[in-house]
Amino acid sequence: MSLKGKYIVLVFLIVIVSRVNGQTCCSGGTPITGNLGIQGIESKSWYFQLSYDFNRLDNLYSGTEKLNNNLSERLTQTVMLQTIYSFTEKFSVNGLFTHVYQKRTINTSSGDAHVTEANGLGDIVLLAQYTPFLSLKRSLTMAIGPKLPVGKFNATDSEFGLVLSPDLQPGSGSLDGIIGVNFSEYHLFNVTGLTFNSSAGFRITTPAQRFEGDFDYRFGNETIIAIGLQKNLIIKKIGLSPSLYFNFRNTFQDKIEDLQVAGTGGIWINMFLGLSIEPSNYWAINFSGELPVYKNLNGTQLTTTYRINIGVAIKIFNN
Amino acid sequence: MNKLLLFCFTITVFFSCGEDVTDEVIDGLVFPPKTPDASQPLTADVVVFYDKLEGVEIVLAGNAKDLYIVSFLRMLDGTLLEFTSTNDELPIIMNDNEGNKWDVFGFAMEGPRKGQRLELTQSLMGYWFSFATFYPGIQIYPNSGKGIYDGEIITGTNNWLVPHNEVRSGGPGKDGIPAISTPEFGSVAQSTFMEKSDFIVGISDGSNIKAYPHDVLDWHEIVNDGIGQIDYSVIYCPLTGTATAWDRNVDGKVTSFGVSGLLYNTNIVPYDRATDSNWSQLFDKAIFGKNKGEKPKTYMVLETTWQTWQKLYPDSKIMNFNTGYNRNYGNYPYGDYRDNSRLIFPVKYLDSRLHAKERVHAVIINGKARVYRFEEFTGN
Repeated sequence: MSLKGKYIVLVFLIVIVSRVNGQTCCSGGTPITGNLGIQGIESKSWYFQLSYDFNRLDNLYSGTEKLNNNLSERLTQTVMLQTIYSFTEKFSVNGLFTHVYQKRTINTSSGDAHVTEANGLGDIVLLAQYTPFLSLKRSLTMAIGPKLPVGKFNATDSEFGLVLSPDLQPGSGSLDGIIGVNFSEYHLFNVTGLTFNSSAGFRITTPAQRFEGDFDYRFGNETIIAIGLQKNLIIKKIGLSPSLYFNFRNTFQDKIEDLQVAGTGGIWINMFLGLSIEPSNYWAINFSGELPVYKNLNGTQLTTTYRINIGVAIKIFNN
Repeated sequence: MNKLLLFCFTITVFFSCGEDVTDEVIDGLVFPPKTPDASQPLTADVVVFYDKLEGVEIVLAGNAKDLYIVSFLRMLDGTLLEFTSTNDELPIIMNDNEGNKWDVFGFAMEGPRKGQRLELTQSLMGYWFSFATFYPGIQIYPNSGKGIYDGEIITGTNNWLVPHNEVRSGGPGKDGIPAISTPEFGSVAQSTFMEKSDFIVGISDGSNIKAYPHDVLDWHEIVNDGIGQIDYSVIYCPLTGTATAWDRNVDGKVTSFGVSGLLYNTNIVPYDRATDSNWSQLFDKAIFGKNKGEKPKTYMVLETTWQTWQKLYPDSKIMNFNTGYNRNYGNYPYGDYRDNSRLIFPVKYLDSRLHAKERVHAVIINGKARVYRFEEFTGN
């Protein structure tokens, strides 16, 4: 790609980001740890992915039991910009920037609906990545870095101007640590284009101050493990890569001071179906959908009914 | 000489007897003697004693073993009644000097005043910390002195009757905790879902008696209901452990209350569906909206255990779990909250004289509050 072409791509991305209003993380609907996108790329190259994540939460669960008569619904829409730059084949940096819009609707038995909305910049994740090996056969990338609490954590409701609860805030308000690893095995079982992918991420949280510093709120530590298969096909010179992943996610209960917060934390196992369309080596369109398979939640809480992610990825090679 | 000795002896006896019945003064506060008459031994079942708050004579009755405390005004129709405990069959808990027998809700069941009811104090059960933060000059019976923070004047801001920045969003949102408006009831015998130690909130109009399990109230906080000629809402705050019953007539029409999702001093803020005003349960007033400043009309509720309630009112009606909602009513939704001293939301004042979650009975008169501990109701 020419230098002019690189600038065009960058300007294109900036315009899109500013128009869509940003992005963010964690809290209610967009698990940041599950969107890290840890991967190694060729030396001196850039990778960008701009994606839109739609998370609908209207299943009410207690433990493993689905409860009826739920009147609440949560929609979390997140715009995410991920960028990776590799200094060498082994060392790279990975940044994840988010903007979150959350909408909660409570339908009453009398037919009224109470709507609460919040939006704003979310937290930023910066990871240092190390790729011990990146070959046509397999790759391994490890990452570590902070989640910076730059996201909005003081969003208020429109009716009373009162600070919303932490799960409705675009940001978490806490400086967290993240470690992650990604391993891929290509041409699995000598099948051309069949890739085994696995990744794991762990987020260690710290307390965030609420109510003018009167109280500490701490989101629960989070672990995510994902494994899956992807098949790369070429049809009419266009790369098509369907994928199937299973994702295990465990979060501990949130805490206020030392008190565990009811209705937070649990175990989720989700299935992801994805499709990547790659017209060229330089860019791709990615679709994925998430469906819950199993969950065992602490207390009673709203949980994801389904989730959709659409993204455009661009690679800019140095040569 | 003998006459002089007899005079001195008489004077001594007079004053020594007087010490037993004279009010105790501590830090300028008047604390009446625990028992109205030391010559009348209290039974082991019900402990009855008097107190005086803000110049108002009250009688308290309770039983630490059965976990209930009630309080009433002693003055009825201009007569200051003298009460004693009784061994009569429950729900009668007190006799008086006129020959009346009073039940736990303050109704005269027998005697010349049969059918009459003792006047109620503004009183309720709840966690110690909640009364201490709403009434910072609070006293602990009999002689703890005043609270650390006395005389605090609450100044509202942003059109609220209370400081706007002390009202918090609780999390679930308006009606995110759904109030119950069509409760179903069963008999005591049918209520096999109840455990002996489960708490209930009971209400009576003298002939109809109903009970609402904490197991349901923990999840819904408000039940809109009625009994006899009155329409009321049972309002329960799991975070402060306080239950009240408010009349549902607002602005001249019967309405219902819902859970606003807001908290003031970590206490429930119900809203009425007639004017959308927000009310504070423990501040006992509407704190925002059209009815700001108005006080709700309240009815007496009795909080005790299911085991005790069965003894008190075996023929009463008990709200069951057919609420129209699917919840795990057997599971307490707030983890170990009621067993530790931690709070989920900040409060204005914390008073550490007692454990934050100790259940006490509070009497509030003219904005002054005094709490009574179960240890005062342990009998002889």
